Amino acid sequence: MTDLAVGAVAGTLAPRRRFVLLRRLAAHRSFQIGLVLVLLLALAAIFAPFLTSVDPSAMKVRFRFRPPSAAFPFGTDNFGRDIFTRVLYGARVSLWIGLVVAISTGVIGAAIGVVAAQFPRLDPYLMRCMDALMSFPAILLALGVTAALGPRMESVIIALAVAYVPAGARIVRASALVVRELDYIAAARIAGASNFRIMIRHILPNSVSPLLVHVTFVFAYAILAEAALSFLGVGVPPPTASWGNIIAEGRDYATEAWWVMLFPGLGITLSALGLNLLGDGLRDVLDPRLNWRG
Amino acid sequence: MSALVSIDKLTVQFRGDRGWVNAVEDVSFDIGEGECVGVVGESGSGKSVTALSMLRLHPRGAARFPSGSIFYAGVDLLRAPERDLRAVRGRDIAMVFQDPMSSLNPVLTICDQICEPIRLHQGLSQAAARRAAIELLDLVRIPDAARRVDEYPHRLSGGMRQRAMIAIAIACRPRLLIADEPTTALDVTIQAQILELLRDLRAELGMAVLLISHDLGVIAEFARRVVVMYAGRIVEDAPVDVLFNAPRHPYTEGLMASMPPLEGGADRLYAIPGRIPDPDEPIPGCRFGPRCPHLEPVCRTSAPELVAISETHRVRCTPRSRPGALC
Amino acid sequence: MDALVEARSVEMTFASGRSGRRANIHVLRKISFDVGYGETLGLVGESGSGKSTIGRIVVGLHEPTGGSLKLFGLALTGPNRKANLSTVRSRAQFVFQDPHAALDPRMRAGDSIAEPIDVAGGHTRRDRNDRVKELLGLVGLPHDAAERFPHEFSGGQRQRIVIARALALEPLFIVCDEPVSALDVSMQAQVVNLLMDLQDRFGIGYLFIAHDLAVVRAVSRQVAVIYAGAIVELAEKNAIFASPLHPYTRALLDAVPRPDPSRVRNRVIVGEVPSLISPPPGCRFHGRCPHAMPKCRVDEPVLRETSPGRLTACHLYGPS
Repeated sequence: MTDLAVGAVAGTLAPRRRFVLLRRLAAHRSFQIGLVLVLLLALAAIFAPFLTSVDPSAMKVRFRFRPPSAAFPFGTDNFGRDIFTRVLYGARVSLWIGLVVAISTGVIGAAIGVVAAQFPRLDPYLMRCMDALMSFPAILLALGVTAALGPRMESVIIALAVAYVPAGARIVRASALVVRELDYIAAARIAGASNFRIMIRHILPNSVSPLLVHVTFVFAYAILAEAALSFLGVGVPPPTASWGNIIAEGRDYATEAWWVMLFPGLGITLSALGLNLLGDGLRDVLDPRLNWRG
Repeated sequence: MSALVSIDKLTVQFRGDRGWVNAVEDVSFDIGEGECVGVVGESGSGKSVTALSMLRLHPRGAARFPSGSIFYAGVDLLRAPERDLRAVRGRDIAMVFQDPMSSLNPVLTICDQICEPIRLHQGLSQAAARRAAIELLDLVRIPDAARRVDEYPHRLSGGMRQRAMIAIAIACRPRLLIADEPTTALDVTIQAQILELLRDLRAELGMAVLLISHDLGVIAEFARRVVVMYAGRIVEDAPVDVLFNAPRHPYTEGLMASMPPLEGGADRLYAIPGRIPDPDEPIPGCRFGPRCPHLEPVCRTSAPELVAISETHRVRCTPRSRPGALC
Repeated sequence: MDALVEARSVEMTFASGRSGRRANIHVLRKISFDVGYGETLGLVGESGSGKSTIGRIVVGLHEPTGGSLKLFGLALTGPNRKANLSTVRSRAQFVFQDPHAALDPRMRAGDSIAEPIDVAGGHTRRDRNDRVKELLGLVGLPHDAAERFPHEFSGGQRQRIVIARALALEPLFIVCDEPVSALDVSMQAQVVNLLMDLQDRFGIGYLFIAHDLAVVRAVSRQVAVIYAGAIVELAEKNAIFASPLHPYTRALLDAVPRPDPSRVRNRVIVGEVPSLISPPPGCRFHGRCPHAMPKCRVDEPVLRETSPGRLTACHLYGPS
């Protein structure tokens, strides 16, 4: 009988290549820049109370329409409120909305996508529902939901999540359909695994990489959409500051106090840019072609 | 006699996770006019990389050539400007790939794809090119060529697609045809047909063929001279009958011994122990050392050179290339 | 004595296309063969022959659309299929062709190997891990391989992990579907030897599916040659290789390239495998057969014993 001594026939194992993906991610230029941007904004939002001692709603009518200066780095609005403080607190709201929408879109989209791929009889019904949702422009959908539930931050989150789930579901479903045909799924079936186990342990983890990329973009879309909704008056209601409603309120006197719209606008732009760069990096690194060795 | 293509000390590097690694190192061999050369090796041997390098087909920035040269008609293909290279590709040197599914453009008809090099290099009109394309399909023995020429690749079987690819490659009567694992993805009976076709075409058109394969049987049937590659280096280079009857390098011996004999025989197959090293794995001395049953101390300390042990036979093995060794 | 696997007139038809353009693909027609306990039946064929489908049917992944199939004496066709399948499941396993696709890239090797054990349940954590170590040892891999992910292994090593997984529940029967085709030549011999050692040691029966005749010869006791969904020849291996009867078998043997530069090939067979949707009448091979007779275009030959121990489906040979 041949010697099955360890290593003698099969050969030694190559030195470990750990965290290959993470290392590649860390070396990716776009990812680095995007990460820095997003982290800076997130930290600014989290530490807002330490960066400014002013109350965002405090009105100092004597100081209305002051341009940016040492005392008011971003100037003041028509109520004399410090824009710098409002933008920082607004970051909390806008980024939070973006984050929650992104995560819930991801989770719900993944669930729907995997179930649709695994149960061909449910598939058409689920996908037609998704198609129906997708055919509404996101803003209109959001308007409808907010009208039904009343203007609150939670309404905005729900509305945007509903608008963005279908795309996520389609992405995961497409991946899952491919994964389903792979040999290791057949192997699990031969091992006696139930449909549920196969879905959760095998199909789901292997179908979500494209979703990860999509979710970072949804984060950015959500921030932009919140701004649009607030602009239309159906976003986060005042006096709570969000980037969107600061811009909305500043619209009326845009020519006199341009700084009121500029700085929250910059916030939106930078966060959307940062998230897009993050997403680009993720997409490049997670590209399955790059994972083949030799 | 000067060779058609002369590869001299070719080294090709790819960007890995930890910097540039040598995929191919110090590869030198010539291909003469009308000659039939086979390159045999397993994965990681660098055989495909060598072939792609001849026409600089790697994606830009992915590969670099720190040293060495590939001379054709007095021009170093590695350093020539892209414009000059384009004149060579498809006209003087053509290539056939392994997987006909992904090598043919699914949205273009066969006619479009064959006519492309014809019109590019010979400047024929659309009608004249189409006639030439039908002739080519006949030449590669696709039945009903006049009708098939207008079909899309997905309507053809694997064997037909490979024939179509060969038609595209020989469209401008190249002087050298590089065939990279042309039959690996095909059934055995179809493989035999394609090999016979390549043999006949070679005789008819007088072109040289560089056949790359991992299958020693295919190489034995087709090539006149064989280059054996392992882990990015040439380990042996000999005429085909010499190689199969009296191989020198332990890797070549091992490869031949591990092929199960079709004529029946031993109960257990001989297996070369160990595994093929990664390109960035540092191995002192001979890269085949860890797997070699005839390892000597010198093999671990100094890397062997490719030495000519006869006019036509070169070996990269220190013990086996000593004068008087293993007559 | 009961055979390990008993297939009688197994048929498999897949429907393809949507309504309006429905086409039935007759992948398998009247397949009959036996595999004995502890023995290997080699199944040789090219693409479109249906050999992979047979493998998947035998291990229970598909239900045949006709005929009968028994595994360990229990019927996998008919009303008791589900119950019988769960009984024999742990004793019949599968080794896949593509080592890259056969392992979940997100699971560590040890978890992949242990999956059949985890699904079956009833083992302590320690027992399970010990068993994984034992299996790794059986296939010649070091213990710390359990912690690694598939991408950290070479093709040959991955195939060993696939084999280790197949051994997890002590099977008596393994279907090997092209287990070495995707491996380098130097790896093929290692894995083939491993499979034969395991058979010697544990008495496992194999259905060894491959297109490589030389490998099939090395591992099998009996060999069946399959063409376009039907078995055309079945015999003990030395008989088939020494004197092939069916013209397709002869053509196949002739087409295999040998590492012998001085060999002259007899004849290159022309044509390609016929369509499985609308197959020609009569013998499926008649379009390519150098010995085709008028009868071959009309009557499909039946697999029958043309000499003791040799089954052939060809009009050239009468019954014994």
